[in-house]
Amino acid sequence: MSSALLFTVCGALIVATGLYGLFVHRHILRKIVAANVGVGGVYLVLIGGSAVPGQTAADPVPQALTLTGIVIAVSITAFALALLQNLHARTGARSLDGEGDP
Amino acid sequence: MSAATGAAWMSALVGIPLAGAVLAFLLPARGTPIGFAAAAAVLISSVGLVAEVARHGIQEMALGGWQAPLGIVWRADGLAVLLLAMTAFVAAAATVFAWTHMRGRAPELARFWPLFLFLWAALNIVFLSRDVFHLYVALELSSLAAVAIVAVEGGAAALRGAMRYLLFALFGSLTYLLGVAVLYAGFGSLDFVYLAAAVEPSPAAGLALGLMTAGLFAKGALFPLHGWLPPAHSAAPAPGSALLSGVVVMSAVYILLRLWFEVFAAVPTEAARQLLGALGTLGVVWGSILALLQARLKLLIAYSTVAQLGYLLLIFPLAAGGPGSTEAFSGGVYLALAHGFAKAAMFLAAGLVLDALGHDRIHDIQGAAHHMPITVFALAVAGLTLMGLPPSGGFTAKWLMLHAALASGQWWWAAVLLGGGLLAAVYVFRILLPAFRQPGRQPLDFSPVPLGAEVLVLALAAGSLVLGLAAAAPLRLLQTHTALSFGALP
Repeated sequence: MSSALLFTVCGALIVATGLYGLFVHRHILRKIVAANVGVGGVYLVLIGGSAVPGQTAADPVPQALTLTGIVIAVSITAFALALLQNLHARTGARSLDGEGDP
Repeated sequence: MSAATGAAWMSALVGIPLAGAVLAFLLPARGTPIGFAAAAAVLISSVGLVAEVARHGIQEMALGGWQAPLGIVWRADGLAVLLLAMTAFVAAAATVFAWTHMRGRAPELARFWPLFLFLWAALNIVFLSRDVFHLYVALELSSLAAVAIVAVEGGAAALRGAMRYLLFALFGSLTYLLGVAVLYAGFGSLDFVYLAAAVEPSPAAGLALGLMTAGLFAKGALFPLHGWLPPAHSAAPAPGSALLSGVVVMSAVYILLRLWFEVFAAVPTEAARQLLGALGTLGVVWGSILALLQARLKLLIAYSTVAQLGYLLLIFPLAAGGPGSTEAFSGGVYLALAHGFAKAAMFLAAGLVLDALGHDRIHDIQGAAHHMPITVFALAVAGLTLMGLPPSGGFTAKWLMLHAALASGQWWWAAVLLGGGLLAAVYVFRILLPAFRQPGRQPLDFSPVPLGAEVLVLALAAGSLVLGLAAAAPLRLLQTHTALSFGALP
């Protein structure tokens, strides 16, 4: 198994873990953490999946995409945490009741 | 130098609201004049771009002079400029409305302007971009601004609605981005034109399309991922709801259309197209039934958005390449345009009812037709488009889609179009009947609402009628200047 394939497969497993956490946990903070775990897996798929076998130089495009993706994920996480803090301060809620929400 | 003119309008459409958002953030006390100036400039630019495309065809612009596949290309075709123009009219009306509606609440208004302008800029990028990753960035910007607008009033319901919206949006970003990763791994490009040439039916293409579609279902509140829409759209301030329900969800459907008909035209199987149509049908039925059950006006209007979004999914089976494909596609896009005007008018009207009465319980709005006749008339006019009755734009749209359903022999979608119209008639009359009922013994307490705001709402509702009366020009623009391939069928 090549290392690129290993990265891709692990990435896919991490995404699955993240999605599972996003759907299963009720605590909103856990959901936010799960989404962050999942998006890390996407970066692995992005980098590992685009590696060309036998070529040593890496394709710079997926790395640029990953970098942009990290910036976006950080901003959204910061916003989500601030929103959760406000929600908790205002209502004391740690979860949104209702079934079937991600 | 038509290419330069087109590029200048496109830069203005994105640059002005972005600059306005930053300025409004830095100078919160000057938010209103900045919002008005940006709205006027973007409105002019969108009309300018429409005229440019109508005269000289599709306009292109490579950002920073870097051509695809390395750089990002913006392309304004008939489909894009129609949605840009609809957004500009709806957002400009919302701008004026925000000033009258939120005048007494300075801190909220100061928070509102930067978010509103960021959202507008993000939407314009979505309509112009032809790069799957650039679209991802624009989608994230639009989701962030939209969630923040929902939360701007800061009440418990608003925060809850915003949080639910954000969690769905997180799921949407994750799956969409994974789809982009699979697409790049499989075909080595992000640009639409290069991808369209490289993509062929394969497991990788199917997986990428499936993942991106799932993500866009969450962002666009398409059944079964619609659960976040009603609490979020009903909690936002009225001018925010107008843009959220009229345009933001449509922008996700727009990307879906681009992907299915431009990038992956040869990939989807007939079963996949029928599945999307079936989900759309469930959305129409479920959204309409829940709209019938709501006690509050804003929630009813929000559920009707879930129903109307369902019709747009009928484009996928109807425009599969057989006879009637062009009609189905034009009809679906036309429905999105007419719905944008009608739904924005309804949310602004609901905002006025809320201002006048202090509540929006449908049962208790007796006498509204007497005290605020223009607002109730606007609700009725906008309702015509939701029901699909002539002479509204909704009628033109459904007529085209009905024609396509019969021409392609898929009569079951015709039944959905007609049945959905009947359900819409019932929920629109659920609003109008109490509004026209005489108030009981004790006269209700109607605070006066500004006449200008009422006229503005009526003008927006009339926009959906104008689309029905003057359909030839927009449809010609759409059909002659949009390069799409309808499936791989002969």
